Amino acid sequence: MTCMGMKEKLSSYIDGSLPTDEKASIEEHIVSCVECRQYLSGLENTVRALRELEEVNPPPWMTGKIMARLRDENKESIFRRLFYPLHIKIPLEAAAIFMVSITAVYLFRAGERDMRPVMPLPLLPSAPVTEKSDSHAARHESSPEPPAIAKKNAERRPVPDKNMFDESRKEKSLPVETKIAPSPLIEAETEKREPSAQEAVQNIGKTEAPVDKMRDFRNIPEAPGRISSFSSVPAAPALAGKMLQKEAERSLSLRVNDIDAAFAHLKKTVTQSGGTVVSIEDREGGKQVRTVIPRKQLESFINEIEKEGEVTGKNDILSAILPEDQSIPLSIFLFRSK
Amino acid sequence: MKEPDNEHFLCDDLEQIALCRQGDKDAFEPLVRKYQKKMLNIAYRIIGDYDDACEAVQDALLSAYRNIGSFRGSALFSTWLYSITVNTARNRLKQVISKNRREETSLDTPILTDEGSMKIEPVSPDDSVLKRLEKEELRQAVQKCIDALELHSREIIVLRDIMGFSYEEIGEMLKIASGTVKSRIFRARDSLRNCLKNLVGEQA
Repeated sequence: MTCMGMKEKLSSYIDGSLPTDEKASIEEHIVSCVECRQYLSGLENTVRALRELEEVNPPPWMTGKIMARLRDENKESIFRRLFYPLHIKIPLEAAAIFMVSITAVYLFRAGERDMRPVMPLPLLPSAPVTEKSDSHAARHESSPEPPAIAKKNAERRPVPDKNMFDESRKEKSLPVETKIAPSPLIEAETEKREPSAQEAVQNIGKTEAPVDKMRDFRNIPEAPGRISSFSSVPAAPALAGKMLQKEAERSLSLRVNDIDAAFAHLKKTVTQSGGTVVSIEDREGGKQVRTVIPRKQLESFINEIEKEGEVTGKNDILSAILPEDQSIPLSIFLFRSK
Repeated sequence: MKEPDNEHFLCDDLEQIALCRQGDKDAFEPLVRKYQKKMLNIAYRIIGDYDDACEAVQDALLSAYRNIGSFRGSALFSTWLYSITVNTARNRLKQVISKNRREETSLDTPILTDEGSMKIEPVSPDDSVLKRLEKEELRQAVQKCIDALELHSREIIVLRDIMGFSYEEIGEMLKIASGTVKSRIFRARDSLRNCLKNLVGEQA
C-alpha cells in the first residue's frame, strides 16, 4: 500500500471506523513506514487539538431573547400575512393615490373658480358710460323688450346695460365680493389690474348677476338664428360655475371718427382673423359688437382695429394669460370720438 | 456519550414538538434550553465570532419553530436542529466574510470567552505557566487554521472533531453520502495539519 492511499485511511483509522482487517494492515504498515508514522502522529495531534477546544456557553439572556422574539414573531407574522403577499398593501396604495388625485383635481378646480372673477371685464370709457347707462335705465322702464332681446340681455354680461352707478347696488354688492375673492393674492391682483373706480363697476357686474332675470327668461323660446352661437359666449356670471372651461369675455373700446366705416372695417377684420361676430347692438353714441376671436389672432386683430382709432383696454387683454388654442370672446364698444 | 440518552431525549422532544405544532410557544422553551449550547458551539466554531454565533443561533431556533411542521420524525430532532444551525451559520459567515471583518474577530474572541473554561480544563498543578501559554497559543493557532479552511472543510471538521458527531449524523445534517463525509474529513484534517505545522512547528 502506498503512502498516498494510506493517508486517507489513517484519517479513518483515527476515527476507528475501519474494518478489523484493514486496521491490522495499517498498524503493520506504520511500524515499518516512518513517513506514515509521522503523518499519523501529526493527524492525531491535530484532532486532539480540535477536541481540546473548550466549549463556549450561551449568554444568560439567550433563552429569554429567543422566546421574546418568538412571541413578537406571531404579531409580526399577522402583519406579514397582511402586507407581504401584498394582499392589502397594493390596493391600499392604489386607493391612496386615487384619493390624492381626486383631492388635487378638486383643489385645482376650486381654486380656478376663485380665480374666475378677477378676469378683466369690460372697460368702459368713463364719459360714454355715464351717458349710456342713464339712458339705458330709462329705456328699461319705458319700453319692455321683446322676449328675444330680453334674453339676449340676460345672457350678456350685465355691465354695460345695468345702471351700474347706482350707489345702493354698489354697496349691496361689496360684501359679496369678499366672498368671491377672499384671497389677498387675488385681491392684490385685482387692484393691480383695475386700480380705478371701475373695480366697483366690475363688482356690480360680477356679483349682481341678473339672476332673477335669468330665471324669468329661461323658459322663453330661443329666437332663431344667432342665439345658438351666442350661447357659446360665457356671459352671465351666474353661469360661471357651469362655464368654467370657457374663457371670460374680454372687452375693448374703440373711439373712432366714423362709426359706420369703422364698423365695416371691424366686421371685415373679425372675419379675416378667423373669428365671428356674435351680436351687434346699438348703443347711445355707438355700437357694441360681440365677437369671438381665435387666441392666436388676438394680437394682430387688435393691431388691425387700432388703425381705425384709439383703443382702450387692450393692455389687460394682451397681458392676460389666455389658453393658446381657444377662441376668446371679445366685446368691442365703438364710440364716436369727440 | 449521548447515545443512551437518545431514546429519552426523542420522546421528550416529540411531546414538546407536538405542543409547538399546536401553537404553544412556551413548549418551545425547554427545547431552546436543551439545544442552544450545542448549537452555539457549532455556530461559533464555524463563524469564529461569538456575537455572530449568538445571532445565528437565535435565527436558527426561530426558523426551527416556524418550520416545526416540516420536521419529520425520521431524523432526530437534534440532528434536524443542528442541520438548521449549520445552514444559518453558513449564511451568517458569508455575510461576515462579505463585510471583511472575519479575520480580526476570530482571533481575538476565544480569549475573551474562554477564561472560565481555562480553569475548568483539567490542568495538573505541575503545569507550568509556560505550558499553559503554549496551550493558549495552540488554541489560537487551531482557531486561526479553522478560519482559514474553506467552508465545506470547516463545517465538517467542526461537526466531526469538535462536536464529535458520527459520519451518519454528519451525512444527515449536510445531506451528503457518508463516503463524501469520510473524504471531506480527511481533506479538512490534512489542510488543518499542514496549517498547524506551519504555525506552531512539528509539535502539531
